[in-house]
Amino acid sequence: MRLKAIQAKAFGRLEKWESSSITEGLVVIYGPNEAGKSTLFHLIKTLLYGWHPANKEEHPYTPWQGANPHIEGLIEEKEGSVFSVVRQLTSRPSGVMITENRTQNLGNLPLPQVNFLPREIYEHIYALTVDELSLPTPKVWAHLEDQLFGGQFAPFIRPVRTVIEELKNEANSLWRTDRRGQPQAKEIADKLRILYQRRKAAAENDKNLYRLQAERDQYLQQLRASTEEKIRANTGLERLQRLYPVQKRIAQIALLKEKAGDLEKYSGIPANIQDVLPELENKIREKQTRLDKIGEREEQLSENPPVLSKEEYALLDYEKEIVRLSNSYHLIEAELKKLDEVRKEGEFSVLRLHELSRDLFTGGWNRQYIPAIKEINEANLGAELKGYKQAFNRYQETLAQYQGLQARLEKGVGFVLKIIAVFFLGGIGIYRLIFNDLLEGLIFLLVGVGVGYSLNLYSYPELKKMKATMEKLAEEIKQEKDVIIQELRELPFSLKRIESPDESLLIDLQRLRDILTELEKVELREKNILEHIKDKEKILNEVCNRCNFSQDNFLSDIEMLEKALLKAQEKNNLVKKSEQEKEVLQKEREILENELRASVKEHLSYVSILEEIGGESVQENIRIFLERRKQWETSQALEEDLYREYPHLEELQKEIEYLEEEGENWLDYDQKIARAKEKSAEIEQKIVEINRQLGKLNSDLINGEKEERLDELCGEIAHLEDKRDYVLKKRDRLILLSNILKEADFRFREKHQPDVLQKAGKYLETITAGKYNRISLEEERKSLYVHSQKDGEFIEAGPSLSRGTLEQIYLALRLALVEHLEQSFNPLPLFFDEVLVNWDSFRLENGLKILTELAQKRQVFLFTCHDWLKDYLREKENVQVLDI
Amino acid sequence: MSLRFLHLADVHLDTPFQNKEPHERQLLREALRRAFQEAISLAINHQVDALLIAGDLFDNETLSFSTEKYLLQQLEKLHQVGIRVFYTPGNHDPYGSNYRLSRIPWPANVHIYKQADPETVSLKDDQGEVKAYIVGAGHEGSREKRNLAQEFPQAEGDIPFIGVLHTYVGGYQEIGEHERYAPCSVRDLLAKNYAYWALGHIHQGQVVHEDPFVVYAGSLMGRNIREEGIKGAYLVEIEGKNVVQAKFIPLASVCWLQVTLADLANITQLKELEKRIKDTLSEIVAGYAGLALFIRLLLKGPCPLYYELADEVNIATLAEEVALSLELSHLEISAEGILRPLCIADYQDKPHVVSTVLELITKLKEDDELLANLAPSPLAKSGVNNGQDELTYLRKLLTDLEPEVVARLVEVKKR
Repeated sequence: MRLKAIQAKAFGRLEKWESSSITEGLVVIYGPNEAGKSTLFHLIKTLLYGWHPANKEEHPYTPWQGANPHIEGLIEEKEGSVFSVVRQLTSRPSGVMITENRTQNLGNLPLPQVNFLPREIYEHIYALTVDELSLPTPKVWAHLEDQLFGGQFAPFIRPVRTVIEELKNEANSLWRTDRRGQPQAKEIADKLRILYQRRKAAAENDKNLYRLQAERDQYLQQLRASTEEKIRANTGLERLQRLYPVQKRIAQIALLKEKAGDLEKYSGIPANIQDVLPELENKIREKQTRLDKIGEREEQLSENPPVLSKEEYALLDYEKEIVRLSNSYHLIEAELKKLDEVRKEGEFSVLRLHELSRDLFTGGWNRQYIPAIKEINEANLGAELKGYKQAFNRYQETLAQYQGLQARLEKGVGFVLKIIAVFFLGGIGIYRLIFNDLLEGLIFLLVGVGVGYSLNLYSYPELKKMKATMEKLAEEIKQEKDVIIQELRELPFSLKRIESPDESLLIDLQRLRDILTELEKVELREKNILEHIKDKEKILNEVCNRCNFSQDNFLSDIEMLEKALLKAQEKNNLVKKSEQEKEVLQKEREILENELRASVKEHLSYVSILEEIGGESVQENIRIFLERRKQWETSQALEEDLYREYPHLEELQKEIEYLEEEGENWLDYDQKIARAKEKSAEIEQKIVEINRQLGKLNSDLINGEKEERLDELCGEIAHLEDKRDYVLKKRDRLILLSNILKEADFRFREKHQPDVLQKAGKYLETITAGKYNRISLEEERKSLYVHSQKDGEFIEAGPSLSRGTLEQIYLALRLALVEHLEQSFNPLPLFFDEVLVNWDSFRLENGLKILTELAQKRQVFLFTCHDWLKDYLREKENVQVLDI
Repeated sequence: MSLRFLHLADVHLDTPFQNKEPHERQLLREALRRAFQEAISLAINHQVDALLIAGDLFDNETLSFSTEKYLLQQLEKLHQVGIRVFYTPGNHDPYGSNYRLSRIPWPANVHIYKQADPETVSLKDDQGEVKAYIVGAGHEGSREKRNLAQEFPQAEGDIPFIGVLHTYVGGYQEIGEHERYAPCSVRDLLAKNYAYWALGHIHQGQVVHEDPFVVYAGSLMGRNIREEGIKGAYLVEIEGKNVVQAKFIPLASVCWLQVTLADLANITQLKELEKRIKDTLSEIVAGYAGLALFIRLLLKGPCPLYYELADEVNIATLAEEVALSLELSHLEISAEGILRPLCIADYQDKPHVVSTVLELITKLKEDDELLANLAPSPLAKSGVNNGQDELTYLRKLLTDLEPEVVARLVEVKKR
C-alpha cells in the first residue's frame, strides 16, 4: 500500500495543504521543526484507521480555528489498483473509500486493508523516531525485547515482564514462599495463630466452665448431701435428746411390768384382796347362820298352818257382796221402813177408795174401774150433772114434792154394805195378786165382783102428779141421767148415786181420781222400794244358800253374814300371812344360798388364782400378788404420766423402735450427744467450706462466661480463614496468571522471534555491511546477542557495543518486526523520524541502502529537518524529497 | 382429634458467624438466640402439642457453655407448660458418646432419637389418649450416609404418623450446596403414608410435597449470604390424619440478601453509583420492613469506575453511606465483578501477546497437563495436594481470568 497523494483541508497546522504526487521509493519529508512532520504521520494514520479520538473537540488535530478536520488521500494497492479515502470529523466522524467501481462508506472504521494490524501497533511500530534509537539503556533494551519480540508493539500493551513483576509483587504481598516481608497471608496467619490460641483458650475455657459446672454440681450435691447429713445429724441429736427421756421412762415402765409379770390372769383379783378374803369368809359364815334360822322358821310354819273352811272360802268369795250388803244395811233398813209406810199409805188410800167406792159403786171398789174413772170427762160430766141437777132439781122439786110424799115412805140401807163388801173383797183380791198369791187374790176378786154384781140399784117412782111431771121430769132426768149413765157407763155406780147423780158424784169422782193418783204414787213408791230391796234380797239369799246359813230376816241375816265374814277374813289373813312369810323366807333362802355360793365361789376363785403365784400360803401369795400389783400400778401410773406428758407417745415409741432397729441401744447417752454435736459442728464446717468453694466456683463461672466465646472466635477465625483462602487463592491466581503470561510471552516469542531475528540478522548484516550477520536471544539471561562475522563470536548487545551498533541492531529488529507482522498482507507505509541523523557516513550509506531497498517493497517516509541530510538524500536514486 | 405442632430445624445455635465486624457477629448471635426464643414463645402461645426439631439444633463443636445453659432454659419453659419436644439429631449434632449432645442434661420433656434405627413414640393428650405417633431417627455420626427413611415403619390405623428426620431428599431442585447426608427420595417418604414429614438439613425452607406434606422447615435464621430470605418454622395443624394447615411463620429478625447490580457502563461518578445503589436497594428493603438486613451487593460488568472501585476505601465509604442511609444492619459491596470497559474480543486473534495470553487461557481450560505445568509452585492454598483437587482448584482460578489479564496487560490511561 502506497500513498500517491495526500491532502489536508484541515488537519492541525496543515490547512489546505496538498502534497505533490508521491512517487515510488523513499519519500523524504523535509521541514523544520514544528513544520508538521509528525502531523503528516498522524494524517496518514488517520486516513488508514479513522479518527481517534472520534470527537472533534477532543481530537488533537482539530484546527485551532475550529474548522472540521478533513483529509483526503489517494492510495495505491500492492497490485496497482488505486482508491481514494476521504475522512472528515464533524459532529461525528465520517469516511469514504472511493474506488473505481464504488464508494464505500467507512464511517470511522479502518480501511479493510489494515484490519490485520491494530491501529496502536501501527502507530507504535511503523513510526520510528531517533529517540528510540538513542537510548540503549538496559531498561530500553528490556522494552525493546518486549516490543520487538514480546509482541508488545503498542503502548497500550504493557510489558509482560512488568506485568509479571507486578503480579509477583502483588502475589508476594499476599503470600510468600519465604519468610520475608509481611504479606497479607502471613498477617492473617499470625492473626489466625493468635485466634487459634484464643480459640483453644476459649475451648479450654468452655471445658473449664463445664468442669467448673460439674465441680459446682458436685459441690451442690455435696452441699445437699451435707445439708441432709446436717439435718439428719441435728435430727438425730434432737431425736436423741427428745427420745432419750421417753425411752428411759419406757424402759423403767417395761422393767416394772416385767417385775409385775403377767397379771392378766390375776385380773379378777381385787386390789384389796387382803381385806376381801376375810370379808368373804365372814360373809359366808353370816349367810350360813341366817340360812339356818330361816330353816327353823319354815319348819315352824309348816307344822301348824291356818286353814279356811268351805263356808269361809264361800264367805270370802262373797266378800264383796257381803260388804255391799253390810254397807246397804241401813239403807235396806230405811227402805223396809219406808215400804211399811208406803204400804200403810196404800192401804189407807185403798181404804179410802173402798170407803168412797162403797157408796159410789156397786160392789165397792174395784181396780178395774180405774181406767173408766180416768176416762170420764169431768167437764162433760159436770155439764151433764148440771143438766141433770137442773132436771133433777126440777124433778126434786117435784120429787120433793113427790118424796115429800114418798120420803117418808122408804129409806134403803143394804146397798152400802154391799159396796163395802165389794170393796173389801176386791181389795183383798188385789192385795193377794200383788203379793204373789194369785189364786187367793182371784178368789177374792170374784167374790167381790159377785158381790158387786149382786148389787142393783133401783129407782123410786114419782108421785103421780107429780109423777107425770116427775115422769116427764124423770124422763128428762132419765135422759139426763142416761147421758150421765152413758157417760159413766163403764162404772158400776151404785144406783143410789147414779139414780140421782149430783155434783157430789163429780166431786167423788174427783176425789176418787185424787185417791187413785195418790195410790198410784204409793204403789209406784212401793214398787220402787221393792225393786231396791229385791236385788239385795236375792244376793242375800244366794250368799246364805252358799254359806249354808239359815236365814232369819233381812237385816239379821246381813248382820250374821257380816260377822261371819269378819271372822273368815281374819282367818284368811292368818293364812295369807303365813304364806307370805313362807314366800319371804323362801326368797331370802334363795338369795342367801346364791350369795353364799357366789361368795364361796369367789373365795375359791381368789384362792385358786393366788395359788398359781406359788407361795407357801395364801397369805404369802397375797403378799407377793400385792407386791407385783403395786409394781404394775406404778408402771401404769408412769405410763399415764408419760402419755399425759407426751400426747403423741405412739409416734415417739415408733421412732424409738425404729432407732433401736437401727441399732440404738440407748447407752452412753452423754457421749452420744457430745459426739452428735461434734459431728453437727463438723458438717456445719464442711457446709461453710462447700459454700466457700461454691462461691468461688460461681465467681469463676461468671468470670469464665465473660471470657471470649468459642463461636465468636470461630466466626472470626472462619472470617479470617475465608479471607486467607481468598488471599491464597488470589495469590495462586496471580501466580498462575504470571505463569500464563510468562508462557504466553514465551510462546509468542517462540512463534515470532526466529523469523524476526532471522530477518533482523539480514537487516543488520546489510546495515553493518557484514560486520554482524546474526542476532540471537539468550532466553535464560534475557539478553540479545549479535554475531560478529569477524570474530565468529556472539557479543551481547549491551554496553560493550557502540551506540551506533546498538541503534543499528534496533533498527534491524524494528524493520524485521514490521516485515514479520505484515507477513502476506499489504505492506503499510513506514515512517522514520531522523533515524539516520546520528549515523556515520558508512553506516548512513548502508542504512540508506536498507531504506531504499525497503521502499521498493513498501512506502517509506523519512522525516528530517536537517538540510545536509536532505541534500544528501536528494542526490540518491529512488528518493523523492517533499517539503512541508 | 386435632394435633398442633411446631416444626423447626437447622437452628445451628452458636454457629460461627463469619462477618468481619465483631458487633455484627454479636448481633447475629443474639438474633439467632432471639429467633429460637420466638419459636419457644410461639409454641407456648399456640399451645402446641409438640415441638419437632429435625436436627442441627446446634453446631457441635462451638456450642458454648452459656448457650447450652440458654438452650436448656428455653426447653425448660416448654417443660413447664407440658409441651413435649421431639428431637432428631443431624450431622452437626449427632448423638454419640463422642458428641456434645449426649452429654447435655436434657429436661424430661425432650425426647431424643438417639439411633439411626427409627423409633416410634406416642404423643398422648391429658387423658392419656394417643394423638399421634412421632417417628424419628437420629444421626449417630457426623457423616451418616445411609438411607434412614427407608427403615421407617409403615403408618397404620387412624392415628396420624409424623416423621421427623434430618435428611437430604434427592430428586428435586434444591437451593444451595449440601452434603448428601442420610439421603432418601420423596418416593421413600411418600411410601410410608405419613401425615407429615418434618425434615431438616436443607436450609432453604420449602414444601417438597403436598398431600401428604413433606416439608423442610429451613434454617431458623440465615447464617450467611448463602442462606438468603426470611427464615422461620412451620406451624402445623392436623385434624384426624389430614394436615389442615402447614403455615410458615417467620421468626428470624435477620434476613440475608444478595443483590446484583449490573449495567454500570455509564456510571462515571461514585456519587452517581451511590444513588443507583440506593435506588435499587431501597425498593428491595421496603419488602423486608422490620428485619435487620444483611445485604451483599455484587457490582458486576464494565464500569468506568473500575479503578475507583478497586480502592477498598472507596468501597467501604460507599457501603457505609448506603447502609446508613437505608438503615441496613450490614452492607457488603463487592466490586470484584467490575470490569474495565474493555472488549475482550478486541484483543483476540491479534498479532500481539495479549491475544496469545487469551488463546493460552482458553487452551488451559481444556488442557489439564498444560494447566498443571503452569500451576504455581508451591501453591499458597493448602490442602490441594491431590492431583485432581489441584486441577479443580486451578480451573477455578482460571474463572474470569481473561478480563483480568487484559486489564493488566492493556495500558489504559487512568482518568
